[in-house]
Amino acid sequence: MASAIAIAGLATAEAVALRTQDVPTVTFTRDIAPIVFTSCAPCHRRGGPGPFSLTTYDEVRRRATQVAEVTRSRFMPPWKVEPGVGHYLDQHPLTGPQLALIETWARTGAPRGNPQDLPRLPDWPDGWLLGKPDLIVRPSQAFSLQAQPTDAFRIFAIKVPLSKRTYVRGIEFHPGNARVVHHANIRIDRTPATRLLDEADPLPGYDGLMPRSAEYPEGHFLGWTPGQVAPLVSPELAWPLEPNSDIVVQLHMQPSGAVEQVLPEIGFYFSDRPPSRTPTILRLGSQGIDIPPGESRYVIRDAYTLPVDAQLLAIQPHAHYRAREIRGVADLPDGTSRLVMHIKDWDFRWQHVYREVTPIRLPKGTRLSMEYTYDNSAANARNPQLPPARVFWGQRSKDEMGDLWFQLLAGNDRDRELLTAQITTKMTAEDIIGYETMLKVDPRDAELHDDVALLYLGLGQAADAVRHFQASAALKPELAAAHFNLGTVLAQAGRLDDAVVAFRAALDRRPGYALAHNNLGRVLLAQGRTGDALKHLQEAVRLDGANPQALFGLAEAYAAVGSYDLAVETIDRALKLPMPEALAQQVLVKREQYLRRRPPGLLIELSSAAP
Amino acid sequence: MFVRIALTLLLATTSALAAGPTRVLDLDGRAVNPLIPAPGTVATVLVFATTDCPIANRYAPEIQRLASRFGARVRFVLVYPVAADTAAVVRDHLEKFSYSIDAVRDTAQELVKHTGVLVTPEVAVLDGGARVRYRGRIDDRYIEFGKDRPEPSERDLERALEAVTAGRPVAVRETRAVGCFLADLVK
Repeated sequence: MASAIAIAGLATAEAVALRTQDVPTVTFTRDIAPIVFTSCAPCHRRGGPGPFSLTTYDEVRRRATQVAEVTRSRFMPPWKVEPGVGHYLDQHPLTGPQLALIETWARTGAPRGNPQDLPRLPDWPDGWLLGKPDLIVRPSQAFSLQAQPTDAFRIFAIKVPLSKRTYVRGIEFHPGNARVVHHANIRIDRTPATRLLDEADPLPGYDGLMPRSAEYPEGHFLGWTPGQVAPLVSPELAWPLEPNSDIVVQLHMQPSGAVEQVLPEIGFYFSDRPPSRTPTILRLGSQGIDIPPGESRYVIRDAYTLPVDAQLLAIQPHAHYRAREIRGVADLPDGTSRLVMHIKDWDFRWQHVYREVTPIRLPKGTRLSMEYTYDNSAANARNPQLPPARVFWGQRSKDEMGDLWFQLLAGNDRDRELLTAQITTKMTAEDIIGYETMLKVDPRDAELHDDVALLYLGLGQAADAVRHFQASAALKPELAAAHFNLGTVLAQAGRLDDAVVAFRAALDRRPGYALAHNNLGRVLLAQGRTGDALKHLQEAVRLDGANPQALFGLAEAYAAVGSYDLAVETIDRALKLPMPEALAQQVLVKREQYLRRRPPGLLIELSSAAP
Repeated sequence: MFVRIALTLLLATTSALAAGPTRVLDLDGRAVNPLIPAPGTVATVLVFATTDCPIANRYAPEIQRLASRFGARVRFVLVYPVAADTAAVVRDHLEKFSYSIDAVRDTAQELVKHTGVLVTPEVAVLDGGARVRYRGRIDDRYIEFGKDRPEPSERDLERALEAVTAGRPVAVRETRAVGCFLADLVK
C-alpha cells in the first residue's frame, strides 16, 4: 500500500515537472496541418470526393476527436492492405508518430498554434486531376436517389459517342455527388444488353445486375473508389474503345438522408496510335461458394501456375459482405514465397485496384494462389442476413463472391497468346461452376440453363450442353428456340435421331422457323434422307434467302440428289451475300467440287444456337 | 452504498429540472422548454443533431418513421446545439431532409448537459417528469466510423418508446451512440 502511494505521488510530480518545463504543445499549424493537408485534404476538400472538408483549422478542429478515432483505427486514410504487403500507388499510410500527434492534439483541446507555422494548402486543379479529357461522357439524366435507409445500387449504360475505334490510355471518374456515391464499377458492353436493361427502366439507369457482356476492356481494370485516380498507361498499353459500345457504370451509393441528385461523369484520355502490347487478366477464385448458416470460417482457395514469364502490374480483390480475410500469394520457382495481397478486415466498400509502383517479375512456373475466409455467423456485423442463412455464389450483394484478379503482362505476343488461351479455359470452367451454383439455387431458370449450355459448348463439352438445353426445353416447352437449341447441340454430339425429334418439335411450335428448317435439313442430309432434307432446305431458303448458311445447305442437298447445276446456281446466289471470310473460302471449295460433279461429304455445318 | 448512488442521481435530475432551460430557442427566437411534455403525450424524444454530420443526416428517414409511429403519444424534438446552425441554416436543413417535427436551438448546451449526450445523432427519451428514461443511439446500425451493419439488429430507441408508451420500464436505458462529437463542435 505504501509503495502504491509513493508511485502515485511520483507520477504527479513528473506531470508537474513536464508542465513547468514548458513542453511545446501539439498545435494545428505546426504539427497537424502538414499531416492533414497531405493525407486527408486531397479528398476532404471542396469539390473532392470526401463527404466534408478538412482544409482549415476550424474544419479540422470541429472533427478533432473523430479524426483521432478514425486514424487510430486505420479506417482513414482508407487503405485495407496490411502494412508491409506490396508497394502500391496511392499508398500513404500514417506513421506511428503521426498518429500520436493527432491523438495528443485532439486530447489537449485541439489548439490552433502560431499562424506563422501554417503550411500552404496544396493546389489541386479544379475538376480533372489528369488534365482536360479528350472525351467526357455522362448519363443523359441525373438519377434521383431517395432518402432510403439502405444502400442503393444503380447501373447506367452510357453510349460511346465515337464513330471509329479509339485507343484509351486512362479514365477519370467523377462521382457527381460525393455525399452519396461510395464506389463505382466500370465496364464496357459491346452488346446492347446493358442498354436494353437501362431503357426498360423509365428512370435513369436500372436496378439489378450487369450482364456478363459488360466486361473489362481486354487486359485492363476499370473502377473507382474515393481517392483513387489511376494514372494513364503508356501508349503501348492503351486499350481499344469501339463505337456502338456502352460504358457501363454501377454506382454503390450510401443515401445521405435527403433526396440527392447523382450525375456521374467519366473523362477519357486517348492515345493517337494502337497499342503494341496487351496485358492479360487472370481471375482466381471460386464460384462454387455455398456457406452454411453460422459457419464462421469458410475458406475458398484457387491457384494457377504461369506457363510463361510475366510481370504483375496490378491486383484487385473482390468479395461481398461476409468475406473477412483475403490473401494472395506468389510462389516463385526458386522456392521463395511472396505475399502479394493481404487484407485482414475486408470491407466491400473499399474495392481498390492495387497498382504496383514497380511491376513484379514473375518467372515461368510461378504459382499464383488465393485464399479467402468468410464469416457467415451472426458475429459478423456486416452479415446482410440475420439470422444467418445459407449463402451461395452470386452477383447480388446479398450473395457472396470471391475473386482475386491479377493484371499480367507477358513478354511477347506468343507468350501472351498461350497465357490468354489457358486462362480463358480456366475462367470459363469456373464460370460454369458459377452457373451450376446459381442453378442449384434456382433450377427453374431457363435462361441460366441456356447460358451455361453455351459455355459448355465453348469448352467442347457437348453432352453437358445437351443436358442444360434439355432442361431449358423442359422448362419452356412452348418455346421453339429451346427445342432448336437442343436439336443443334444433339446434332453436334452426334445424336442425329434425337436432333431430328427436337427440330421437328421446334417447327411444330413455329412452322416458319427458317434456321430450324435449315438445321433439320442438314441433319437429314447427314442421315442420307436426301428427299426430306431437300424439302426443308428449300423451305429455309424460301423463308430467309439472305442467309448464306441456308443457301449453302440447299446447295449441298441439290448436290446430294445429283442436281449439280442447281447446286452451283445456289452457291452463286450465296456468294453475292455478305459472309465471313472463312465461310466464303469453304463455299468456293464446295463450288469447285460441284463443278466436278462430286457428291458432298457428309459434313454437318449447323447454324449456331440462338435462344 | 446502492441507496446513496440512487439518491444522488435523483437529486441531480431534480435540480436540473427545477432550474429548467432558459436559453433554448425555437426557430423564431422565442425561449421554449421542451422538457415540459406536450399535452396528450407521455414522453418527449430529444434528437440531437448537427446540420453537417453525415451519420446524423442519414438517420433522417428513420427519425421521421419513428415520429410517425409514436406521433400521437410521443413528442419528437430536433435539438441543434451548435452555434453555427443558425435558425436559417436549421430551416434549410429541415426542408432538405424532409423533417416535419419541431426543432429547437440549444446553443448554450443546456439540453446537452441535462441529458448527457455526447455525439450527434444521439437521443434522450424523457418522461412526463423530464426524467431521462433512455439515452443513446437510435439503433445499432453504426458500430464505429467506417463499420456499420446493412440493417440494425437492435432498434434501441424504438424498444424504449414501446416500453414508455406501454407504461413498462425501459430494459436498456443507456447505449453508446456513434457520430460527431459534440465536445469538438461546441468549443
